[in-house]
Amino acid sequence: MMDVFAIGENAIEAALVRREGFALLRGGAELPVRLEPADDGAFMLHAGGRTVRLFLARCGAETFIHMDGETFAVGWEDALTRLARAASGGHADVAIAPMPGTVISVGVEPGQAVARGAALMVIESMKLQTTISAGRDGVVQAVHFAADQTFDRGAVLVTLEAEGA
Amino acid sequence: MGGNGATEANHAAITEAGMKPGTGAPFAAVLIANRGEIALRIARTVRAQGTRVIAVHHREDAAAPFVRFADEAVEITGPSPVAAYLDIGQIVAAARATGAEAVHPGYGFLAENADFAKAVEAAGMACIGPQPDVISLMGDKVRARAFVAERGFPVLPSAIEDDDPATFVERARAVGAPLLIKPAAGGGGKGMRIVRDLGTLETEIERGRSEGQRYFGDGRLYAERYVERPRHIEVQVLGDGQGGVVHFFERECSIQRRFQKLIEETPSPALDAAGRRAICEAAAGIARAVDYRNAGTIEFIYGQDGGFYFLEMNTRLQVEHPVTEMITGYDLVAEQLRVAAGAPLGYGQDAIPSHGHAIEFRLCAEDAARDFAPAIGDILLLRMPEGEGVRVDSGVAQGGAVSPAFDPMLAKIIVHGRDRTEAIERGVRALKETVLLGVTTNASFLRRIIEQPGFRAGETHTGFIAEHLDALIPPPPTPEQETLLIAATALAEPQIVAAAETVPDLHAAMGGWRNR
Repeated sequence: MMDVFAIGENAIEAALVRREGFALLRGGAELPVRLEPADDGAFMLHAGGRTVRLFLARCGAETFIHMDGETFAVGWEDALTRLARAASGGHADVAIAPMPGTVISVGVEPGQAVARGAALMVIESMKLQTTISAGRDGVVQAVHFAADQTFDRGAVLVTLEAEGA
Repeated sequence: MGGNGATEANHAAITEAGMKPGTGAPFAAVLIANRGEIALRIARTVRAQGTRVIAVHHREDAAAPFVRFADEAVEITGPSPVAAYLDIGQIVAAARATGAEAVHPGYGFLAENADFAKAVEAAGMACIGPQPDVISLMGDKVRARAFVAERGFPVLPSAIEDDDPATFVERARAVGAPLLIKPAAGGGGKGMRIVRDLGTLETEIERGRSEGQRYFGDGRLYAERYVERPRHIEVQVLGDGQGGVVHFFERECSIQRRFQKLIEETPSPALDAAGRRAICEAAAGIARAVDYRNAGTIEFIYGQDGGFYFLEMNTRLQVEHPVTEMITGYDLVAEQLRVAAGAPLGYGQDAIPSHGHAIEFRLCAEDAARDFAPAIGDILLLRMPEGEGVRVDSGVAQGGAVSPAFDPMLAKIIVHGRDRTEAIERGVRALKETVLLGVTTNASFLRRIIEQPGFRAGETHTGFIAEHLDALIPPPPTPEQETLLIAATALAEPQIVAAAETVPDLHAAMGGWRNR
């Protein structure tokens, strides 16, 4: 099962598999890979015969990488979430927690009509407040967490009624 | 924060060079009415003199490096964070309450506000800046330009319609082509017309008038000589208000986007020794004409033909002052404090050397690929460059947040080399070593600017970024880079690693077989 990695506008399918160590599968090719921390907070990435020095930091589903003097952001969605999303009929049906956190306030209740972009919930993660907004026009079916409740990354926070329902 | 060792060492060296022996500290306590990198940079000099550092800050800046550095910090409030830093009453009250003897306004905010200077002085403290009437004169662009022209310094030939509407066309024609016509009420380039053929002057004036009417509800016009591919060259001056004025040479600041400077350097690659002397002496002459007190900057527009014309005077410390400090060894903030305390300069032009070449890069939270839109986020990881010839003036720390409330400039990276080539090489290395993860910055955009052959050849002008934009925007990663990025992401994500580890051996083998 392939995970999906987003770099810029590109969505790239790839998977990490176990071999002697680990290998990355992408486009039918398999590349032995190993990441080891260097002493100054950098990492050495061994990929095939290459070794690249890079800096890396993660925030939610996004990984920021400094490599070759450039900075990149890589988004990741695991295969199960992707399947679940496809099965549930579209991304916009659910608002998913981008990172673990606490609900600060809930702005909607079941049955309420919302417009795309409307604020559904305010969450706080790593002392940063984020507004969770509706991905499309619709009607709120369920609010899964109340104020002060905590949740993990990837948790479904709010569900909208399926389109045409 | 990592990477500040070199900065502190640099500041110490600069301070030592800048303080003249036996002067001692000019004030017992100084309040800094600013934030970010400049508040911290001023604070370092104040601290180095053994003087108490007092910060004011909005709640949003409570954890900022400049607040943590201060001996005492006073919270100021406002309807917006920016409004707090513009609140003269609160800041003067904070200065009085904390026993400050002087207030340093930095740049921006209240730095060129004559009312603020008067309020600070009325409260019995020194305002680190020029005489309030000089702030007013130079703050009025039309008055300043007339003042400078009357004293025989070069200004762009121009014609103001309001002076005598009946003769405007005639006077505009006398300015000569190429000519720039702009709405008197204008700004942001709207309604501006370039006239290269004076035969079309009257038609263009009519068009400019109707555009001015449409955009600004005001059809009055202004015409001035148009300078093709101009450079922005400015001169650092310092005066004591007691007849002593010196210059600290020029800075070229032609690399701009949205009319804001991104890269500044000194010396200017455009000037030979005679040209350098001419523009620097003109600037010192203008400062002398107002018996200037404080550090200040005279900005000129510099034509391809070597002509230069007064644009405006900034009566404050400039963002890009560090390049001047790097080539002269002077601490300009220390000099500001000294003259604000009433000390005479105590040295002449001969005491100011120019060693090597310095370049400053403004590290901004912005996305060059999206028309320089400001970026926000959390600073997850920060590594500033260090090493020989590298100075960093930073206002941010790892763990801090970049909010949309303030200017997107996060830090300044300043490099020095024996010559321009060495400075550029050090700049390339420093920008490659600048790691800021979590917020989009212009670090690699800045690096690509100085890697352009045109920049290396010194062929800079204010349209440089627009002209080379395609080569400056970060390129998408190559397929090889993509694979490396994905591998690093996957190996750093515990869920991905755990999933790969729990796949039974049979499946792992099948996966390999399937993909072989």
